[in-house]
Amino acid sequence: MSDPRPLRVVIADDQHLIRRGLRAIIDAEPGLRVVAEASDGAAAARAAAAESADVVLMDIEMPGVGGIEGVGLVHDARPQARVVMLTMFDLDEYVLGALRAGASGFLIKSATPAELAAAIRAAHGGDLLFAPSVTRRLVESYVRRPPPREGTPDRLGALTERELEVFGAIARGLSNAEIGAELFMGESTVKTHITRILAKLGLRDRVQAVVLAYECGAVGR
Amino acid sequence: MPPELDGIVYRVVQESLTNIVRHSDATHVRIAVRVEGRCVSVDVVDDGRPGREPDVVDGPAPSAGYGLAGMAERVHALGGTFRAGRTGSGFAVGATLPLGSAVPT
Repeated sequence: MSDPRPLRVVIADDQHLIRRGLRAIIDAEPGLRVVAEASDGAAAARAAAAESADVVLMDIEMPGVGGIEGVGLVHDARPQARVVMLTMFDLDEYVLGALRAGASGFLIKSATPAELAAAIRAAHGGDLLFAPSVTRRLVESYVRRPPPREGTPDRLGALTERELEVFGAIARGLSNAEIGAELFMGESTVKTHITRILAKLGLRDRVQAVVLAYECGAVGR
Repeated sequence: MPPELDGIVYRVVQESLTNIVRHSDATHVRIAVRVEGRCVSVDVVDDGRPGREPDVVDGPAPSAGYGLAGMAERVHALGGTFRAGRTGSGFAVGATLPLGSAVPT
């Protein structure tokens, strides 16, 4: 199926610099044209309908109406549009959540301009394929330890030695039962530690704990 | 079937079912494993609907196998293709792998 007119793309990201960068990359691609920008999921849906968008590039982590909710809104407002989710965080839950919400594709922000253009075209073409280049980056980023940021070691200072062990195990993706087996404690004890860890670190859930662990370079301890 | 293909087909089914149980409102799952020509394909299709599902981001611990990305990596390493996304009113995960010698890419 060949369509001579350029694909109409809406960019949704709460960060102005990111939108500008994405716009520059996409407008430079033959066959792709940015027709609107939005800073949350609801605005993305309105823009997609108003501009007859073919593809919406949607950041997951927007405040207010976020990307995952935005996918449903776009599909209601402009059913013809395909959504490609964009994220900084290479967490598996984000990939699954985005796809189950109805996104056609998923990309991390460290992707190359060529991968971005390919993902936009593939989504429009109805592809559900996970391209090898995308998944390789997802897995590499997932296991790569980012350099510790200034001040973050202090955040973990509130944890006891045992709590640090449990925290490290969470970051490696172990279940409660696996943590108990590895650290020789009962599952209910593991759960108690996790509750205390989340409270001490001000975290909402395990997924946030994993993100913090990578930021602190705590994975591998 | 060569053991590495056997293993990845099993893994695709296992990971997909785990995701369905943890993160969907699905009531039906269809699993198909077929040999067609020189390829084996596995498809796991559920009837979970978007907007009615538990929030994946707040769900339980990430799986040690990295879920979809991990499955796709292993499938690609064996020269296959991997797909995941909504289809009709449901959600489908699938892989198609060549039989015969598996050449890592």
